[in-house]
Amino acid sequence: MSPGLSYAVIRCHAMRAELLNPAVFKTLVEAKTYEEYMDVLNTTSYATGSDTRPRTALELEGFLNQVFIARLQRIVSFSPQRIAEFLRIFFLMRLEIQNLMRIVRLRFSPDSGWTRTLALIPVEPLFSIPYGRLLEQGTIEGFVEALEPTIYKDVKNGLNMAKQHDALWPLEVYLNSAFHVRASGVISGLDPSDRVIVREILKTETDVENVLAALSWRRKLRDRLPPPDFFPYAYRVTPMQLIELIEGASLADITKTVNQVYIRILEPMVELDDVSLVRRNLRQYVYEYAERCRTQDDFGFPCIFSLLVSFETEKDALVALGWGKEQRISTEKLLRYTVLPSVLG
Amino acid sequence: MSVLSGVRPTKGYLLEMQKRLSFIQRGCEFLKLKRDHLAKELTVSLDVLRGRRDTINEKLKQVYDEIVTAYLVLGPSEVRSQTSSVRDGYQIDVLPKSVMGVRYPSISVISRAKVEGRLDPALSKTASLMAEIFEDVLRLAEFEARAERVADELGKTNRKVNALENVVIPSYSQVIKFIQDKLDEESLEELVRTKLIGGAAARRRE
Repeated sequence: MSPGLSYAVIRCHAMRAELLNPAVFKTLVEAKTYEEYMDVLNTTSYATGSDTRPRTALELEGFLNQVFIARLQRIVSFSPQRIAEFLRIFFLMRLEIQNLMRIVRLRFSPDSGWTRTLALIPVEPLFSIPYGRLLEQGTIEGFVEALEPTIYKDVKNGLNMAKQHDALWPLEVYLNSAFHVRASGVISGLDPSDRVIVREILKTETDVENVLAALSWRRKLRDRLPPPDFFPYAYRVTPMQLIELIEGASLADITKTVNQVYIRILEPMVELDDVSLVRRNLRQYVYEYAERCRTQDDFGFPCIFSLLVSFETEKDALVALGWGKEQRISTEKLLRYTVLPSVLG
Repeated sequence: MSVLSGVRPTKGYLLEMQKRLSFIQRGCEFLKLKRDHLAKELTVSLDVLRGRRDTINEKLKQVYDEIVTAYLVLGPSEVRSQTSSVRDGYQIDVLPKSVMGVRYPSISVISRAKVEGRLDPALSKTASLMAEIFEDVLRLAEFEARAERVADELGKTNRKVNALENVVIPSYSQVIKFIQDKLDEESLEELVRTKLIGGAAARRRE
């Protein structure tokens, strides 16, 4: 093991102390109100000053995103070059794509009477031009043109399709393709055993999202098939199977041919048609898989990777709990749809 | 003040009163018909409303549950961003309609919101469910407004019928009876007087 990697692993072991422990999570879950929830959160590593304390769940989400990005950047700063580059792409580029989609959505329906605010994830652009300049573009055409000099230049290929279908998914497909291309590049720089871990997660996430997109298409537009590049990346669930799914094949039959993990993740879709629970299962699977890999190699890349997955899962759980407390959602429901990392671990 | 104060016990006044009473009784019959029709309309509406409300409440609960789970999984800012991409929201027109002279608002949908291809699968399902029941909610609102106004009108009509049956018609009947009694009394007096005069004249001739 290189000295750089050893140093990063030791730092990551130290950073594990920043993760919330099960007792804190229990207290957070038991909080009666949002204020009580924030009081408990203020006694943890997420403490804020009284004047910067998030007053709403939306503000809390922004704050937790900030904390996550700061932690990610800390890890990137002390990780070896090839791992740092991978982490930046795997975690930050996804956030950047989310931001780009948020800008596109805002430009997509500018004339609507809805009062809206744009909440961007507080991440500096990695490959796109500054968000401020993208926001200045009055139209989607202008937005796509502004992305021309960046790695998202292929988004322009989705513009005609977006107009033809009067939908945003073609642009999202091309943005995600840019992520896949870039991610494949940086993954190849990792050690072979590390590559397996990351590819497994990437494949599972992509396949599950493809299945959800296919089922969503089937629900509304069953009479016409999607264009060929609707599923640019598909792994264990092949594009042919996805088309069969759209045409009416049973999801249970399709997942039977894949593997046990997919059956477990997609089970709520088969039995309850519950997309959110599928997403929750996927998140839990990624978390558990990363943790399992760490237990097999706690002094290498899996240790760094699983820490970031844990931070991200914890952030998502805290956002969900915060929103749930604000809206007074029952604890039973909150726990059903939230992955509490340390509790599972 | 008595209903009989100011009554002129004349033949002409009696005819006028009888004409009025007959007109009021005809009006009362019409009002009773209207009352029965409105009551029937209201009973049917309430039965339908009860059923529809329960169904819609059930569906709304389901939509709310879906929205909550979408928020929990996607996060509030992402849900907010996704929903902002839905353009061309519902456009409705509200025009007045009438049943038995009772005006109520009638809602017609001019254009529907387009959500296909804009939302995450979790939200897309919620939006489809909401779109399914949105027009039912509009119909329910229209039906409730109609039932409310029919009930209001039924109350008014009932009060009018009761007032006519229990107050106006009896008072007119009382006046007519009073005039008739007076006129009968007067004609009897007249007859007696004629007889007496006739008797006196006969005696004088003898």
